[in-house]
Amino acid sequence: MGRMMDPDIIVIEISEIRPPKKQTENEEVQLNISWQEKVFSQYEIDYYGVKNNCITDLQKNYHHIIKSTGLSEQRKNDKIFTYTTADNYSPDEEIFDMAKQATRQRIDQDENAFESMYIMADLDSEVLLFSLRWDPTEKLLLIYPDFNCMKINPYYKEIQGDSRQMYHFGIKNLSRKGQFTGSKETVQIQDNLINKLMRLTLREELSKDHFSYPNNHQLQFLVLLEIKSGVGFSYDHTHVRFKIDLPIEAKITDGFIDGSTHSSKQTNGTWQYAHCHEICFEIPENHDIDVVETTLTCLKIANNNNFYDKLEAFLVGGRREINLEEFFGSKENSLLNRYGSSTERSGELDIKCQVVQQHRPQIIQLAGGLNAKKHGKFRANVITIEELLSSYQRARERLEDIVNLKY
Amino acid sequence: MAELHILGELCHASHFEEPNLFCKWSVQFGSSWKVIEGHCEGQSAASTTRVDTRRSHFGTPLDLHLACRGIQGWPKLHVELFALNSFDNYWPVGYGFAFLPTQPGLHRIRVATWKVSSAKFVDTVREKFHTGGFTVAKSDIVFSGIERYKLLTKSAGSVEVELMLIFKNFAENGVELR
Repeated sequence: MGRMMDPDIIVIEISEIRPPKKQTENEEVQLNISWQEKVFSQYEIDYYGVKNNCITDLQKNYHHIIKSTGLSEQRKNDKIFTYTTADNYSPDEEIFDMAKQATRQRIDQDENAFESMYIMADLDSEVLLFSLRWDPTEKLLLIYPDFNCMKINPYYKEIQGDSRQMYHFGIKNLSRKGQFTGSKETVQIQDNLINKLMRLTLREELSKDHFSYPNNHQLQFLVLLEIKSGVGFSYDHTHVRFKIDLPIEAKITDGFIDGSTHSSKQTNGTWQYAHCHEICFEIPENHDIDVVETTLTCLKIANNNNFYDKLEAFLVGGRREINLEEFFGSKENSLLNRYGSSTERSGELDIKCQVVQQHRPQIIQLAGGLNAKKHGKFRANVITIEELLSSYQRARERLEDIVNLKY
Repeated sequence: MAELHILGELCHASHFEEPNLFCKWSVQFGSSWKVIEGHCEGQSAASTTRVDTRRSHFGTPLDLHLACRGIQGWPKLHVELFALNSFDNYWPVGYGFAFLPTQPGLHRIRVATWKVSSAKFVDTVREKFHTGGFTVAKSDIVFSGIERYKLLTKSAGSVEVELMLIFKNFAENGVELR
């Protein structure tokens, strides 16, 4: 260490030792992929890296690529990989149908005429993120879902494994725009024309029926639960854990049945959560869902009222450990004796629950009676043998699930 | 395809401790929804709280036209309130979320907001003298459902939004809006 004596002496700076960067759990992966570029997953690297596994010419080619680029010797860090046309990958039916509908594909068009590419993610299982299809006759590149901005409206995927993980992903157009040299008026006319064409294309898309419907004889419910705020609690730093109890016949199509808000510290006697939770499920037609009230009164289960329990509750907190679902719910086989348990009012929660119900449009015509409008595009509600067999199969699967649940 | 027109106004923010506020809003939706016209995000001008009403008025218009192929991913309104001081420093003082109503017509929505809680006393004092606050490192923490109780927050004020919703072709596709 030096000290300043006169201008000729320089102070020696001691280098600052910075701690190593901690690897955070929130990793961001960005990948630039060109058309029909094959990006291998870790499973493919391990599988095609073994020569005996490669039988077809394509597999042998992959083996050669993996060996020549040295992929098998290093661990793949990112989770994104691709399937190209040569892989002959067939995605999940629902997404594929939606992609086909979105692309207005003609029925008589040959599937083999398309070049396709699928952007996948290795999240403990293969998850399809984006599907891209190139139509050489129409010179169209079709992408589903559309381009988006990661910062503004990313797409989300929640994966339930050992722990619940949330992934958000996006796709950006990196194509170079063609350079156009022309006068300002020409550029303006061109922009106006492009905007008019886009609006006309959108109106044509809107006029076609591409809406997703629930299965036959099923109702789809979308429940939007909003936990706004709470008042009157005894403790600060509270959070709300909730669980939605669905009928046993319900089949969840999107979302989770339980969740938790963040911990909130009160201001002016109010705890504000502003938590939104969405769940979508299908149930048979003969069910109905009621809208929940907007103010929930909360109860606190008191301890045994002896001195030590009261002291513990005052100093530390806590409650008697009981099974809350059985205590507040109904037990099927036996009567639950709640004698000796005391509860006290603890606070109120302000919640909002909105329900959107959807069914197949044919049923509206039946409910309307003679005055129902006849839509030519909807066929009459005639049950075919195929529908009968598929209904029987669904009912059987539901029954087997219920029987398995009991045992 | 069904369509939804969202016409409205970001009215005001109330019961915030900080006097000078501006609001950044966005409408978020799932992959079944698509923007036809309008902007799905925006920012208001900065407004100073009136002493008598303790409200910061924004008067920012909202005009958005969405189309959807399915009811999943119902649109949500996300607001972020920022405080501004005389040195033009700004920091977040409120995050809030609310689902858009499922019924057509005029609605007045009150979005409750919260902010990240300061862990140390020094940071609390700093916040009191309006020289800074805490923000989230990743934006998806605001609405992610994973181990959310670990996020410590403090209740802030609320934002009022007035919306007129027009639904088209939902009934034809079997959707009943209760």
